[in-house]
Amino acid sequence: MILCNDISKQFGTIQAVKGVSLSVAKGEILAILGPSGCGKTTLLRLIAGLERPDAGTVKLDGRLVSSRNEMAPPASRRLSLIFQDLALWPHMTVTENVAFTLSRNRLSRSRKAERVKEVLQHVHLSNHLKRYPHQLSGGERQRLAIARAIAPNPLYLLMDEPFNCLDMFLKQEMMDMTMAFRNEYQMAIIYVSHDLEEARYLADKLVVMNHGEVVWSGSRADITGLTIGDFIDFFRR
Amino acid sequence: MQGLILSPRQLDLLKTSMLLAATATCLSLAFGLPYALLVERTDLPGRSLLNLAYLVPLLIPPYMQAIVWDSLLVKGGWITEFLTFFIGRPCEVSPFWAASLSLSLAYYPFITLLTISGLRGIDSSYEEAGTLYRGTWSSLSRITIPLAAPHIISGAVFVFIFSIIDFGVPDIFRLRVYPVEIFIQFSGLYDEKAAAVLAFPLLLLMAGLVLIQVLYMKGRSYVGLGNGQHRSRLFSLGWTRFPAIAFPVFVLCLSVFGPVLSLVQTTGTLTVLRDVMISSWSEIAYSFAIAFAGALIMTVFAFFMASIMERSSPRYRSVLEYMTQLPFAIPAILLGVALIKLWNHPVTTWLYGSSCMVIIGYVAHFVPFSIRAALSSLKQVNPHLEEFGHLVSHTWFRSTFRILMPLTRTGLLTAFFIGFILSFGDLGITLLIIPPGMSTIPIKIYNFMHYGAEARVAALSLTLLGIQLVLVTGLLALYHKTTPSYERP
Repeated sequence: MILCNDISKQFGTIQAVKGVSLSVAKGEILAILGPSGCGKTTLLRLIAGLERPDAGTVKLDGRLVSSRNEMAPPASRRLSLIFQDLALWPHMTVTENVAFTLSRNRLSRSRKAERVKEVLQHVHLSNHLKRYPHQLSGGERQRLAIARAIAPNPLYLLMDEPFNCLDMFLKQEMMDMTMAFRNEYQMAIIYVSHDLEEARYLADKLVVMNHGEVVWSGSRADITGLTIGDFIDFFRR
Repeated sequence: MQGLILSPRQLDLLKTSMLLAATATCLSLAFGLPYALLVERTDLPGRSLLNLAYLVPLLIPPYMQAIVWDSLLVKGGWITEFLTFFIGRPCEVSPFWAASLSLSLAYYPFITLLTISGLRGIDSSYEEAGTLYRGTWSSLSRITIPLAAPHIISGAVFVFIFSIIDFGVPDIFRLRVYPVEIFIQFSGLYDEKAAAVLAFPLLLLMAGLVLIQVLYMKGRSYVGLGNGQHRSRLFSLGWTRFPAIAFPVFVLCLSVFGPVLSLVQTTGTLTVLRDVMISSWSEIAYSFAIAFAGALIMTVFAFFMASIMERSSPRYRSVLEYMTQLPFAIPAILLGVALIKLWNHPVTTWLYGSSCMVIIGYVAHFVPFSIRAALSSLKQVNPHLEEFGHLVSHTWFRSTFRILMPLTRTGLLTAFFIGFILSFGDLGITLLIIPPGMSTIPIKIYNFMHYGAEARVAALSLTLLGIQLVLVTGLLALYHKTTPSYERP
């Protein structure tokens, strides 16, 4: 379980995240919605250990991993993050991009190769093993980012607006893939977006953020009743 | 002709030149690469100061490093005495190693500079993605360094070319390498044909190296592939944070403090320094004037050349890139010889006998660096900004001067700075084409050296350094004072 308790982060004079508390259980998808600059990405970075909080704590399965005084290294958290720009390593092939993430699993060379193959087969990239990211299409890059994220069997998956620039068909395919992986691996997933429809489709729980704070939260049942008008009202407050 | 090119003497020259350049490059990498990584990618204390300090050795011309290290390592200086005392038998460093060290201490800042620029261009999300799965050092070695590799390799090629065409350093250490042999053939034995034959393999090698570099860099820049944040990620050094400062300080001691202290010691008294400064006033003024004029012409030329290159199709851009990089790979001595052959005619005597010749020489030799600086600045300007300028401006001149030039201001200042520093300290070109009756500070240093006036050489070297330091500090202060708010971090 991911547990954030009263977490805050300030950059200079800008309060990026202000006293946010949330929890995500195993096998659950939490969507965080909000306008640009509302602190969604910073919150993900705080959970991933890429930023140190000014106040509050982050716990993963009860283990304190982030606080003002304590920071567990990102690599020890057993989580994966799909960056907004995907951040696929441009100097590595498709195979190398996935294989690089497997070091913490202490697998043998042959088992590692098997795992890479298995994951790439899962996302239909087995024919592009030797290609570099710039030689892939937009959809293939998205699939590679997902493959790279799930390859080390993470317990938690953080997704930062990963399907932002995709057309509606590709977006649907990616969302289905995410759901399938959630069902298969039972990961706790935090999905950041600014699209209410995406959240409605994917999320078990929803948190709406504005100006670094949580302004609304609810369950799947609550999301169904939300309208675009309600959504805009949250941001006007 | 074929016999001359493939003669044992030629092969020996090729071997010594290549070995010297390769050793200097390896040493430069050993100094420059860790320096860059430490100051740019770790939480080393005093990073901001060290991030500027590595540029100071660029103000010390290679022949000045050679003068210092010749006296410290070869001619029985205190380092030789210390080594002799420590080992217990007479110990002298060979001229080859002393020359390699001098070249590397003069040129390692190019590796540091290019590596830092490569590291700054890496999208931080690549490194952050690495730290999610691996430890600090694994991410550094598998993600950061490979992503900066094109810049590091480019820096190494620069140092290799600089070292192989350098005249001053091997001349001081009496090493028989191409530029020294060409100079002896042309200036000592007046044998132009032999000089040309000698230069042929070197020119081929240089042309090949520049081609390899252009082809290697083509499409290899990973800068800006992502669109994430560009804030650099700093790796924590933990308890080694303070001890790690020892490395950059050691490099700076070797390349700056050591040479300067040695020059101060050799100068002896302030009276010598004052006398030399007073008697060299005309050389100081002349050096400044021609370096300033050269740098100004280089900057203007570089701006227009870079604009043309940026707008060319990728195919023509590669050709232009190659053509504009080629001049710096021609040894300065050879360029001087070529300029003499080209302009020493009755019709052009008015130009040949004037200072314009030296300025033409500077521009021809050093403009590739100014073009690179202007080009990298132009690449960062969103093309739409200029296009919109053309839509609303009546003339091309207006949109270029009101939009493009202010936006590339940093690059143009860098182009001027590089052009000025390289011209001000130049020895190779000036030595051959300076008009009769005129002299620059490097020429005066070179002449004093051959008369064995060590104190005067040291005093003049200090004068040269002091002037450059004052000018650069003034330029930096002016730059910071006039930096518009949109360029401030």
